[in-house]
Amino acid sequence: MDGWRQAETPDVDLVRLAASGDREAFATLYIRYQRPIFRFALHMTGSAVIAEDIVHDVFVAFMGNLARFDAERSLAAYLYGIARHKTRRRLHRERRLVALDPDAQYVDHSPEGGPARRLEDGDDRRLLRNAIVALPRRYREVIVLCNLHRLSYETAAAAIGCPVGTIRSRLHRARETLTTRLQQKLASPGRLSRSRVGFAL
Amino acid sequence: MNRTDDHLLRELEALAASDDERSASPRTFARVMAVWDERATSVPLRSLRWWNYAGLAALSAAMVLLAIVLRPTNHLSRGSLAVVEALDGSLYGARPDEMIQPGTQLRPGSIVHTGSGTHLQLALADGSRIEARSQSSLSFDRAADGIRLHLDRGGILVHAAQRRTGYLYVQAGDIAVQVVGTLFLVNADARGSRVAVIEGEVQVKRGAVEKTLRPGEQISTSAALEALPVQEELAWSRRHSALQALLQAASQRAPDIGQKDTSVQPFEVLGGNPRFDVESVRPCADDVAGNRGGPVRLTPGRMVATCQTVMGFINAAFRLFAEGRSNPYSNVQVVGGPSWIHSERYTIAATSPDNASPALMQGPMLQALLEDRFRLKVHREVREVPIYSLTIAKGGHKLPPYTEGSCAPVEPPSTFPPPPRPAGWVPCAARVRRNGPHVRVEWHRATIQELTWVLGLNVDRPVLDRTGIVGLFDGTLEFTPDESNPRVPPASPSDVPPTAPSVFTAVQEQLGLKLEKMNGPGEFVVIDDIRRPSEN
Repeated sequence: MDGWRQAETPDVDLVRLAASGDREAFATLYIRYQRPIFRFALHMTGSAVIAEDIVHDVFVAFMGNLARFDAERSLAAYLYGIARHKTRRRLHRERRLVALDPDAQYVDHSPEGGPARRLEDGDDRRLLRNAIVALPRRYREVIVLCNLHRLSYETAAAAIGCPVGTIRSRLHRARETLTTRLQQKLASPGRLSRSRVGFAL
Repeated sequence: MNRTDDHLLRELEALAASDDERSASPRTFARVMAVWDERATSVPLRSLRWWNYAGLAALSAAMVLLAIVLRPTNHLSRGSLAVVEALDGSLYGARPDEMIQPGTQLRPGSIVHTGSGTHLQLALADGSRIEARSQSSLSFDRAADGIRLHLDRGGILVHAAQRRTGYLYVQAGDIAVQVVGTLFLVNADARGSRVAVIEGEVQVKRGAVEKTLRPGEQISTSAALEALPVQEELAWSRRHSALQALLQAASQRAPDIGQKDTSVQPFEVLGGNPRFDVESVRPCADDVAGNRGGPVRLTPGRMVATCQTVMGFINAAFRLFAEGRSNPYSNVQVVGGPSWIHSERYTIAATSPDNASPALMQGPMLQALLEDRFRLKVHREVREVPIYSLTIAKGGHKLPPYTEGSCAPVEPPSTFPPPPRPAGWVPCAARVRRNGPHVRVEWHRATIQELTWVLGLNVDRPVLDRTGIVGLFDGTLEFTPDESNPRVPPASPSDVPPTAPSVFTAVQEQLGLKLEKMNGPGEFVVIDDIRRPSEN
């Protein structure tokens, strides 16, 4: 199949073609979904290097399950589900590691950080990234999926494998926690501790 | 939502927007596709095990000798699989602007397309020679014990070298040929593949069916391919006379061949229609099926298609997977049959004894199942239908070649709400839109087949590509619609008078191509009879 024609082909047909050995169909699926999967892994781990590995692992796993993919499922939710699983395993395996990836340096290294200091835009964003990475995983997931990836509650629930109500309640608590931590961070000098920020620091 | 929440949401939205364009590197794409290629090339090897591997010991020995056997010939550099030995005409690589010259080394993964009127000769690293006729597409890969050549379309004449170990593998559609020291022809087109032997013996395999061909014999994957005498098939070769002599000599050596009339060569369709072993066909209740149907789950040797319309099954079996491989560009039309085949849904669960591939199950095997259980009777027709023939106008075509980076692959929105497209975003796609009283067609990274398809969407009869143009193109076409463009929606009332020409003049002036009305071949599968299946 050819690229631009495939652009119009529904996911379910591309999966079917890829399951029959159509290389271009699989490549099109990769191109369609690599970006959200990369961003999900990046937001969850804080490391672009690890996110690249997770994208690779997700699509290789998907490759092995093409023939078993349930066409009634949302492919996005399915891939987010694999990415979530791979991310959890990777985070667990590397929980003691300190990332050397420049993208992962989300921590505020400013020595004079304090409430009186007006953070620049870049610092503000870094602070927010750090706070997200430091959230407990179940809260981080919903913030990443619903707020950063703008998924519907239903798709997020399908990706995580929980009821929509759980997504709503976790999101509420996640935002509360995030707000509290950001306020604490801005109100007091010093840095977030390594244990709070997570392995990526 | 209080003010703090609102502020947090705005910050999160800003963070999301700042990351919208971040994506995995091309290196990751290459790593993923390398895994795909590795798995794809390992499948035929598994299926070839039974041919004549004496066992793992012999395979190991073959692997040890591989480096010696595949040593580059004196004009091939290390890592190359083939070299362009002689070329008369145009030879293109994967990109339209990639013109390949004589002497070019072809590495694993290389793709070549011969242009119109082109004759190509390649020398392979194992000493084999390949002749390719015009309009052929070939690619090369390394196999564990030799070289694998894929013929996507066109025709090749293969003179496989003698070798102590390993094979030359030729793949055309779902047919696999494994050879040493033979001379044979392979043809492939949308209808299927055909192999004809001139000298030596050739083992041909399709699914679980294997066949050994001898000189003068030929085999096909489809009854739709007409049986041409091998002599006629050789007509394009530069060694035509010598090959004829070889064929005659072979027929004299083998009495059973010699007795046959050489103008009508043995010809058969390989494998027939493989069949499912266990199957169940059950009707779906309307309230369960709804309007969508359920999933089609495919694993090697098993297919469960839930609540599909009968026409859906027929389309898969006779169009999309008709030859046991996917063919999304199939122009075959399925016609006839009662109205219920469009509305009634069935669940088919079927198992194959030979771990058949998903494409084989959805194509030839599903055809057999429909014939058994639905008592489906079809016949194929080529009807003369009104078409437009697309040819090159006098003076040559004016299609601008595709510029690398001129467009971005089209991705459907994966987030909700969809993020805004960056300014100046150009998709690798064809777009048709109204431009005042005109219609503007714009395409990027399109082949002539894709352009033909888009033109066909905008005129009143199918368009058949007869240009022979190879490559990828960017471009635009602007025309004023008239009665020959019935599918173009009417323009909103406007005082602006049309200034663009008709689609026919526009194609000629703007693209250097010609659309001519004529009658041409249209392939049809006609449903003669079909019945509701009996209960299992």
